[in-house]
Amino acid sequence: MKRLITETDQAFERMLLRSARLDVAPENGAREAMEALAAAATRLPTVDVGPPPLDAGQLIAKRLGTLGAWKWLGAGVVLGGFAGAGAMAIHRSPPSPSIAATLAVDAPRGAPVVRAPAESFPEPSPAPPAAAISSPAAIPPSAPRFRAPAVPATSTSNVAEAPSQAVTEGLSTLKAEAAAIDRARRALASGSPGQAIELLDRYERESPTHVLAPDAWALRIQAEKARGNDVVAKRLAEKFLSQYPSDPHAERVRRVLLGQ
Amino acid sequence: MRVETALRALIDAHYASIWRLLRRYGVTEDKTDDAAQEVFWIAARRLSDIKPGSESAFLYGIAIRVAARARREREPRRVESAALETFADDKPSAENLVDERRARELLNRVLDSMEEKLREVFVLFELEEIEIPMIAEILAIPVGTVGSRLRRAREEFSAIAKRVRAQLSFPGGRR
Repeated sequence: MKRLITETDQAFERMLLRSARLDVAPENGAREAMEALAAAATRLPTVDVGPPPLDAGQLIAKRLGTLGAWKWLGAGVVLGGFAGAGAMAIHRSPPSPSIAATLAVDAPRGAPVVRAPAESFPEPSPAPPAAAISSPAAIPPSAPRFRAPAVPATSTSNVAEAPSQAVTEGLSTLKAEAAAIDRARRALASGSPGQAIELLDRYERESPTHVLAPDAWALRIQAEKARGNDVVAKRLAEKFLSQYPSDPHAERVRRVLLGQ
Repeated sequence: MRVETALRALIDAHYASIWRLLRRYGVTEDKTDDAAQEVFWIAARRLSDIKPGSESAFLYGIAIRVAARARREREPRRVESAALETFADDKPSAENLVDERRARELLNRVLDSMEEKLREVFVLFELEEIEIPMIAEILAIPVGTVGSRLRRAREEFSAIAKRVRAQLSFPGGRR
């Protein structure tokens, strides 16, 4: 079948169809997309909160906060139980005849995560100084515009302290959503699962796209578990696994189900 | 190859076409960058599901769903005549007809006026110049369905285009 633009005898239709060629992506769009994904990958949850005592949880958060985000993101790699002095078990999805099959994890275990090329987001840590988070320098001048979910304003703990509006302005939606989940993750890592849940509630209410909903859900399961709500955590975990059986978080959620 | 490298390659190869597709599926210009990032973010989560050689189809499928959601979230679809009146009123018709940029704006409004399922097929075939079997794969529908929707889409496009042209020729005629 030929295209309409070559078949129609209507000059007006041809003109309309020809005008579609003017739709051109912004020159720096691909670069900004890569930056946004890098920043989001760096910020998403890698903390494993379970039975370990708070100190250990804080240690885990500190050590895992910057680990292998790209690996987690792309290849279904999840961070396993964190036992002892930083030993990690890395589980990978079964190899498939896909692009992922070429994604051999060539970084050494525990290698630092690939950073966003033009971003310098603060290291996730249990209690980052507010100034570090809100530094305007963390925002590249060319960052895409922002439509972020509202920032939690009722936080009483510095671990979940919301960055100032100046920080979130200029971030893309993806970055902003990742930042919102990162705040919940840090609250959980610092031993405040209730606050983490509040932040996740807020994310779910106010996120414009919910593109990170699976991440928020997985984190909520961990938070409920940490709060001692095993029944709730189990129910959420079962639902999660039925909906996202091959999600990068699935392995971690299964461990929650198993009580590990 | 690292995940980052693979993802970068995916973005480099497909960002422009995904951005364009989102626009043609009705994502407003100010939201297209975000929507494109969302497409690649979703793809990044599912890299292991992408079959070699099917990257475009995979990304297009995601883009169509992201665009559909973006359209639902934006203001209610404008009624064709109201949109066209706005277009027709602010410039002389002759100038409208020769201004390619405005023609693109008009095209988007015509596409906005089309039934969603017909628009999907129309955009992929007529504007993205994708062949019918691949469209069937992207939309997960039979090839025959693509063909029938395309015929209906052309009819609808032509009918709307005729109305648009008539209205541009007589901007005040419908009021």
